[in-house]
This record gives sequence, C-alpha cells and structure tokens, in this order.
Amino acid sequence: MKVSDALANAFVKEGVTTVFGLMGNGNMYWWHALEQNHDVAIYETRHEGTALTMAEGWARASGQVGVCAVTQGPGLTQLATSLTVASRAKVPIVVFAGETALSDHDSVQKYDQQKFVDATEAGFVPIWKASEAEDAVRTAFYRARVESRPIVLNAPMDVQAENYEGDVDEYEPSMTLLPGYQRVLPDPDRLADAVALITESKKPVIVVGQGAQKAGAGDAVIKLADRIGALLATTLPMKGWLGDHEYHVGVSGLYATKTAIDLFAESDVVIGVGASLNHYTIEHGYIFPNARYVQIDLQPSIVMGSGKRADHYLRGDARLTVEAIDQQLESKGVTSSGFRTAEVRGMLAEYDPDPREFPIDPGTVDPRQAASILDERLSSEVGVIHGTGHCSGITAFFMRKPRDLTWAINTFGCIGQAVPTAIGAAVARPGKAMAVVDGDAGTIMHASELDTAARLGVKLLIAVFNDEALGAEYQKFVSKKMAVGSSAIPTPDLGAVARAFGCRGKQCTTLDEVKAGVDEFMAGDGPMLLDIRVSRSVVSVPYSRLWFGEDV
Amino acid sequence: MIEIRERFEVPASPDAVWDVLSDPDAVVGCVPGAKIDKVADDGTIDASVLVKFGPTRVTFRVQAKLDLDEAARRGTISAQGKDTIGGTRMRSTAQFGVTPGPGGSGSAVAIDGNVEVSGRLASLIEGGASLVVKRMSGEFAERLAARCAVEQR
Repeated sequence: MKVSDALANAFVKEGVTTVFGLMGNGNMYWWHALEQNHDVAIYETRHEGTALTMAEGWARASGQVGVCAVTQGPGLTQLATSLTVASRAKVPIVVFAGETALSDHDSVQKYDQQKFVDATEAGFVPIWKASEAEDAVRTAFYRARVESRPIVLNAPMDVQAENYEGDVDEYEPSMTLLPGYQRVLPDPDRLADAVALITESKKPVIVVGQGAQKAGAGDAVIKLADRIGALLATTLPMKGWLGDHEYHVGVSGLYATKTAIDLFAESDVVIGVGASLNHYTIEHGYIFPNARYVQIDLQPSIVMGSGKRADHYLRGDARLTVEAIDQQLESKGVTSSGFRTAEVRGMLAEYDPDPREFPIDPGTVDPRQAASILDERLSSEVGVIHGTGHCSGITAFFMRKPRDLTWAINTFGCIGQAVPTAIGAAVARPGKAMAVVDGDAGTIMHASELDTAARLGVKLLIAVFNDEALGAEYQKFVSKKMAVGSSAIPTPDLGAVARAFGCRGKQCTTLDEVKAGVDEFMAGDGPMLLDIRVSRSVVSVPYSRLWFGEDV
Repeated sequence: MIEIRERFEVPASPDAVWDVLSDPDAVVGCVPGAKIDKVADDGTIDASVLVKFGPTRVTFRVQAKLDLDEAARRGTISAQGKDTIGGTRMRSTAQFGVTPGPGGSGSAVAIDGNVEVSGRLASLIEGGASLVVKRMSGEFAERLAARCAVEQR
C-alpha cells in the first residue's frame, strides 16, 4: 500500500463523506484511492478557491469537518482569499494539499507552502516521512475540530509514493482523542454581580451571536428575555435567528432598523450571549449610548468594540449561563415588563424598512421590491444566503422571514464567496431548496461554478441583483460627486450564461418576471439563476447612513 | 478634514448682525443641537453638541473660544471636544466676518472653516460626515440669518 492510499484510508476512517476539490498532480493518487470508497462523494469544482468555499458552506450547514483537496504550488495558492475567509470564520476544514517532491528542488511548482498557509491564518500539518502519514491525518482533523479553523495537511509527492508499512485497519480517528464538549459555568460571584445589574435595569436588550446558537441557547434566551421584558437582537452573521419572537428587533449594528436604533438608545443594559460585541455589532458603543453590559462567552476575556470590557463578563457556556441567570432571577422573584409595551409592539409591527421613494431606471426594478418578492415566495424551509456588497444592504432589510437557515456572508469583506458557499450548503442539505442573493460582480467572479452547480444538480436559486456595477463603489462615487464610469461595468444576460452552463436561467426586468422566475425555480429541479436588473438609483439603508449621512 | 463655507445675506445692518455674531449665547444657540453649559471668565465656553450621524446620535462635550476683532467685524471661533462615549474627538475652527450687503442695504456674512473628526466614529460615519457637517452649517446659517432679522425689528 502506498502512503497516498493510507492517507485516503485515514480520511475515510475520520468519517469523511464529502470532498470538494480540483485534481492535479499532487492530489490525484490520494483522490483515486478515495474514490474507490463508494461512501465518499468527491465533487470537482472549476477553481480551488471555490472548492474550499464549498467545503466551508458544507461544514457550516452539516456541523462536520469540511474537506477540500488541492494540488501543489499554484493549486494551493489559489486558496489565498477563501482560506483566509474560512480561518476568520473559524470553520473546521481539512485541506489535503499536495506538494512537490521534497527531493525535487527544480520543479516549476516548488513553493514554500507553509509560509503561504501561515499568511492565510490557517493551521499547517506537514508530512515529512511515510511513517507519519496516519498520525498527520489524525492531527489535522484533531486540530481542525479543537481549533475550529482550517488545517492544511501538506503531502509531498515523493512521500505519497512510498510504501506504507503500518496496519491501516487499526487507524484510530481523532474523535477518540476528544473528551467531548464541556459545558462550563461562570464563577458564582461574577454571576451574582451580573444578576444584580440585570435586576436593577429597566430596559434590557439581549444580543445573540453564533456562540448562542452553537450552545443551543435559543429557548433559554427567550425564557430570560420574556422574564425581564428584553428586546431580542442578533449579530449580522446570526440575522434571522429567533426571528419569530414578537419582540425581536433584527440585527444590531449598521444593519439595524431605525426603530431598533431608537429603542436601543433607551436601553440601560445589553446582555451579549455568545457574541463578541465587536465594533460592527455595537457601533463602537454608539448604538447603546446609555447601556451597561453583561457579556457571556467562552473566551478568557473580551475587549468589546467600544474599546472597553463589559461591566460583567461571564466566561461560560451560553445556555447554562443564561439558564443560571434566569434561575437566580426567578428565585429572587424578579420579573419586569421592560420594553414589552403596546407602544413598542406597535412600533415593531408598523415598521417600514425603507419608506423612501426613488425614481426607477427604465428596464430595471426596485431592488427592495424584488427582495420582498423573493422573501414572500420562498417558503421558510428555503435557506437564504446573503452575499456581500451594496445589494446585501437591501436584501438584508427586505428579506426578514424567519428561516431554517439564514446566513449573511461578510467575513473578510470580500465579494465572490456567496455562490460557492451556497453550493456547499445545498450539498449538505439534500432535498431542501436553497437561495443565494448576491450582486453581479460577486456572481460573475466565480461564474464558472454554475457548471459545478449544474453537474451537482443542487436545487439552488441564484438571485443576482444586477446593477451592472460594482455597486458599493458606484454609490461611494455618487456620494462624493465623482465620476461613476469606472465602477459601472456592463454585464451579459446572466440568465443565458447560466443556461449555457446547464442551469436554468432567466433575465428579469419587471417584478412580474421576478415572481414568475421564483415560482419556476420552486416548481422545477436543479439550479436556476435569475438575472434581476435592479435600479442603481436605489441606495441601501446602510449606505445612505454611511455615505450620505441620512437618518433612515 | 471637512471644509465649511457659507455665504448668506441678512436684511439687517452690519452692526446689528455683528451684535448677534459676537454674542456666544446667540451663536451657540444657532448651532443645531448645541447648548451652553458654562462661560468662564476668560471667555471659554463649555457646551454640548448633539450630532446626528445618520440615525446614530452622538453628544460631544466641547470647549470653544471666541476671538473677536470688533473694528473689522471679524472673528474666529475655535472648538475642540470629545464625545460622551469617549472614543471620538472633534476639532473645528471657523472665521466669520460681516460686511455691508451688496447694493448698500443689509449685510453679507461669510463663514469659512473646517471640522476634523477622529477616532472610533470616523470609520462609522465614513463619507457621510461631510454631508452631515454641510447640513449643519447650512442650518446654522439659516438660523443665524433668521435671528439677525428678528433682532433688527
């Protein structure tokens, strides 16, 4: 047995079922061995970066370690942005990366792979000799799980080609080394201090982040919120979570509604649950000008986006800590109506995300109305992924239906991630439809993956909010009264492009065409792209605030 | 650095307009969101200014000083302060002057200055800050003009 076979065997023993990758010299023998195992599905993509991003979307949606396979040198360096994104997003992924033979110093693909991986903020596990092969795979998966980030397993070609002497049937997967997640409670004195602060506060807001969902703290958060009359809000990545509660005010931060911002100004205590309360979420502290903070998280300590620590920081499991706070309040007989008044309920019910009127350019639609149509016609079982760019500031405000899955992709602030993320998530959710809403530039960046979507047959709606521009830069030029020309790039009919790749595809220049397109997607099978031509005249709420100083 | 440039005419005599412009209470009273807390013996003014950067409201505690050249009907107001949350500083200087209006009646007022916002808020308000300042200085000029016109009656 070759080392490449032993490596493939170890991946299978780690429980790997799904791999995204692009084949090359450095991974083809491992790939071939893996393919002999019919329990593993390997999905070939058209770019290494998108393979990694699909693995990221798959890992997030499945809750398992994602796997991506790339070849040596240029195959690895294609991961520059997507690997950095996954590192920042703290998603566990193992990347199988080939490397040129250790003995070959003249290869055109020779490259210092560790230096590159270090720069992407991912972990690196090298295989220096054949006897280390299985240990290296175990270490890579162990570290991916424990460190919750991508780990690159570096496999030189000459080592892969050696004979492996070990007994591969005895491989012990990394799970056997893990003691399991331990739910820890905060220091009792700190807990009592936090309870005292909450008890004396009158206008609480609970902000939930990814840590709250990971800990399964949803029900506990709602119980506490109902006891103290708190408003519920989320960080942007958790947009929509617990969204069917009547006192849920949406996202905190730049994407907060005006009603939420007005209410936040009255708040005297913010309870952050599994949320770092970074400068995006609390706008450097300005969005909660009168509040003190209780923060629950697992890190040893956190400096919030205001540059300060929370008044009471509780290090502990989100669910157990929220339950403990609630129990102490209950034993003290504390209940409060807080924000729960008919007036606040009325404000939330009557809220109009954006009452402004804009002239709509001919041959285009109002993107706000298009987003509303998507939200209305896609049932709550359809997961929705929002991309990055000017259009996401519109779709985030007008797509508010609570859903099984809502993700706002904004890690590292790059375009182009949304569609491959959505393909990966769709693979992880067989039988369930997915939709991704992104701009034209973000979609075209990886348009080649329309081929992958078609080959995989995923039921994925790609709704392109096409303003034929780099929308964010376009709007900035407008606000500064600069020439917009260089930011406006004409696009072909992306519906036709999608059809050429084997997807369904339509261009929509009226709202009726948008409605018909969404219905056609839902009625059929496989991926479909809607090239929705939207009017550049409509400026998103976040951009109107940031660049035009508007009070909206 | 955000530039301020306002030109407006007031149907009142230069002396009457100068009376308003040289009165700290009157000037600060025309700044949208501003109120004087204290005027020290040396003329230093402690004031607070509520500024709306989009929907975000930020209160600055400001120390301002007014230097007046009575004879030339010109003055300089310089102000600096920081916000109550503590992450942002502002600094501003503005020169103003009153001259007889074109055509011999009324007065013309010119204000030239700049505002600098630094710290945490700077990234939050991005390009919008210049439009906010422009709106505020426009509103200031309108209020001042209205006030001068009232004083004239």
